[in-house]
Amino acid sequence: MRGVPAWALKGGAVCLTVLATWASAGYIGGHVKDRSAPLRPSLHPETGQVTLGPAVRTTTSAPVTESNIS
Amino acid sequence: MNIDTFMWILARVSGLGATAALGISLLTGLALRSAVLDWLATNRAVRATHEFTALLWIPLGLFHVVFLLLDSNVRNMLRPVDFVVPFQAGFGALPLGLGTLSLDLIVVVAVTGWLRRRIHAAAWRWIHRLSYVACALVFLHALLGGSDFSSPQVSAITWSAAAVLLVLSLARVAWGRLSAGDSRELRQEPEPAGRAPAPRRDGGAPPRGDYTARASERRR
Repeated sequence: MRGVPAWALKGGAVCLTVLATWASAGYIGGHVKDRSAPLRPSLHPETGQVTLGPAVRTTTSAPVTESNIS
Repeated sequence: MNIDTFMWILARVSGLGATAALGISLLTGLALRSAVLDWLATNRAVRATHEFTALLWIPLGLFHVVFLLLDSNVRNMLRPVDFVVPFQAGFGALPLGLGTLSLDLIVVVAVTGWLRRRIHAAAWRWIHRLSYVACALVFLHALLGGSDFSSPQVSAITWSAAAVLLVLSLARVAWGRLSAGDSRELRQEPEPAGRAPAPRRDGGAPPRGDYTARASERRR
């Protein structure tokens, strides 16, 4: 048996990689901000509020930036 | 969506794509010695594919690093040196350090792969075996630091692929090399007349788990 030629195997590898990348893009596009991402900034688990240290004062101004889950 | 979020998404997409391509590379590399793809193609075709996959995972891995460097949120937390020297980052030192270490190992394996003809065969073989360690570190990096590994959809696929590769790697370690003569024996095909197993280029002893030698012993 000669088997599958090298060009077909290479094409299969390209297709699998493109498929995995395309599927990843589709998934990540729908889940840009993941609450359970391990490296996200630490937030209060229930309220979603940033845990501030005692030296930080809060404000009533509108937020000018966003965290990865805000 | 701002530019930083876009770069963050591209970094995650390229990271998952690079992991998939690296898995294919590891599978074809394992198949060269374990004949696990013997039913599909010849060793020559599998070797050509294994070498070709470097053109897939190297750019995707580089894109992963470059897109992270282009994200100003990441740049504020990490220095460029953190992408080269492992475990020095002030943020997520362990998961990011594992990624950096795997990147360093992969660079060593890739460069020595291209310089194979200039390196002693035994030295090259031991350096190339670092790719197993690098792939394990990539998986741990993705597991501990990846934003998407906590989702069931992503982790189901990645854990399954990792389990298959782990089983094949352990089989490779336990049983060693499966020669061409051995795969013929498994398919119950006759060996070509007057054809002896090819001697090792480095002149060393037959590899551990050489089934052809075992079959000869059984026939005696």
